[in-house]
Amino acid sequence: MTVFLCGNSQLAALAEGVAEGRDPAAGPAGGAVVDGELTIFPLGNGKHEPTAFSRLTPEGVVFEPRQYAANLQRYAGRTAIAPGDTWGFLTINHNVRIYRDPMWKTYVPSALDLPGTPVTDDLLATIVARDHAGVRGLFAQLQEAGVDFFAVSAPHPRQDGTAVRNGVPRPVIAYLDALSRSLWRSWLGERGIGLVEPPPSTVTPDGFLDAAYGAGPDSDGRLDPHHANAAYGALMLARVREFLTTR
Amino acid sequence: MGESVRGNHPYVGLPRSAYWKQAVSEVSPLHLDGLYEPRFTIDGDTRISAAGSCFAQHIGRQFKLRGFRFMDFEPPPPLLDPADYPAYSFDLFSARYGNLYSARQLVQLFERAAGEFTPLDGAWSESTPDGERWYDPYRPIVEPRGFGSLEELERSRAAHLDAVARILPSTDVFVFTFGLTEAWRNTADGAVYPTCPGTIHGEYDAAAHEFVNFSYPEVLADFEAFLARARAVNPAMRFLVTVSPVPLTATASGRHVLSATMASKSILRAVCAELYNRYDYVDYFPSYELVAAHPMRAMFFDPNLRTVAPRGVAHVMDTFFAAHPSPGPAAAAPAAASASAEDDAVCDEAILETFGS
Repeated sequence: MTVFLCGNSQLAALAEGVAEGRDPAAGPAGGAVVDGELTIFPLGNGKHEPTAFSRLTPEGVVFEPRQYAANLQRYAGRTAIAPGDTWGFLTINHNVRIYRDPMWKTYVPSALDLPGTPVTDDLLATIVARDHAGVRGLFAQLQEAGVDFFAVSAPHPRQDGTAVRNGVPRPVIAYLDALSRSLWRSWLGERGIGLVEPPPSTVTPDGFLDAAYGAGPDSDGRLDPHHANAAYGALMLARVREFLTTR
Repeated sequence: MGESVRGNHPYVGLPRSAYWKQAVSEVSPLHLDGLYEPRFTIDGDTRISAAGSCFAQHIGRQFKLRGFRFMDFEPPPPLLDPADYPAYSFDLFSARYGNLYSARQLVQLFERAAGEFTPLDGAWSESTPDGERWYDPYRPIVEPRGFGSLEELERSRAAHLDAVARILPSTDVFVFTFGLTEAWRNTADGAVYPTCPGTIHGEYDAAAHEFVNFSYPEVLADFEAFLARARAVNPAMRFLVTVSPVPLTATASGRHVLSATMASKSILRAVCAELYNRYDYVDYFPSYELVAAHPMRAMFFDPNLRTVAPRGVAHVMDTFFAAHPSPGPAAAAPAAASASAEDDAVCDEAILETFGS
């Protein structure tokens, strides 16, 4: 069985997690990272996720963004996602799109006792659901096509992330992130779609990614305030494997 | 003793618009020249705020679309998709108060914002499959699924009333569209509801809620009270009043709904005339005439003869803005947050670095 694990930039940590030495046989294969039955490759930038980026065709589900379609072909040798393989999508809870917005310096979830213009939970859910729209569409199409697939969650927010540095209150970030995770959990659960969530050990009590699991500077020394590291990826891969063997 | 001269009287030599035959019978109803001659200028610097019945929503929207300085003191959260604005009562008026059908509602809204009036009936709760939901009796549809708790409702209301309190000091022209004379109010303190309790949310209680059909003197007095409040805050403020052409959905007056509608609209139209005559800082825009007057032959109504068709709205708006030329295109949407671009760039780089693609 081949299991393709693909997604946005948060997938990089999982690919790097393979190199943590959990499987000596793992290694690059045409740019994708192969770890036993797992083939890990990027679809591309997560910016496409809030809007429709896929469609169902007689051949299966195809991607509209050129980058996604090209990577599907390049790494998986597929032009469409059809029944026959198993697919994991790390395309959910990329919540930085929501909590990094400057509006959170003046607006605040009404459940939090913080100064600012209150935003009700229902309205927040509407905002978050809009952010989920494209991926929900993809998952609905995959179900209709009969594809075996599951969802993999992105890590929790970085404590040193752009939003924190730009002054968005930490409780606001944590609240929005938790709301999104809750909505995804419900939506996927209602449809019987499997979900792999981050290990609790990687999350601080107030809902952020533990600093030990944050990606370090890149090879040019530039700060990456956004992603998780290989250690996180290794833990997440273990959860993926556990999910695949126990589902 | 004066000498009588035939052919020399006040109706001689009037402009064409004064004669029914020349102004109405012999011209297309789409081209009734001179029906609206503004009393004052509204330009790109004029700060405009608006409230009123549902028809007033079109006015506010058009002011924005045409580049006027329409004031919104309770704007939608930037992340909310514009398609969701109407469901949450954003982008309709100058704050999220929803429809204000009567002048009494308008007066009470500003009294509440000033801390002068706190209605006894403060919240309605309903049991739903998703748990208990809460509704604001004075804007029951502002949250389509209600508030999740009483505390959430109260926080939202406090922020809303803060926004309302900022309207008068920052407005040059206040536009109000009169909608109805019929209303429902609380028997204990007279608080007026936008809709009868029990119709959309809440529960009707004959002992707690009573029908009222505001009379001409009451509507006039209410709006004059609002004028006094507004001018006390902002002595230079001017007002543009209109009457919604939309008939009553239903009447509780005991009369036929058509008669009730005519009575209601006649009172509101008469109040507007009186306001126009009494105050040189009040102007009247004839949206009612442009849609509902009989020369229009109901052409601007939908087949139900109640709701105004888009072509009717367009006709009203075109007439209004022909007299108030657009100062320019509407302001462009704010540029995307720089943080977004920064993080997107980071994402691309992470992919490139790991996979070399």
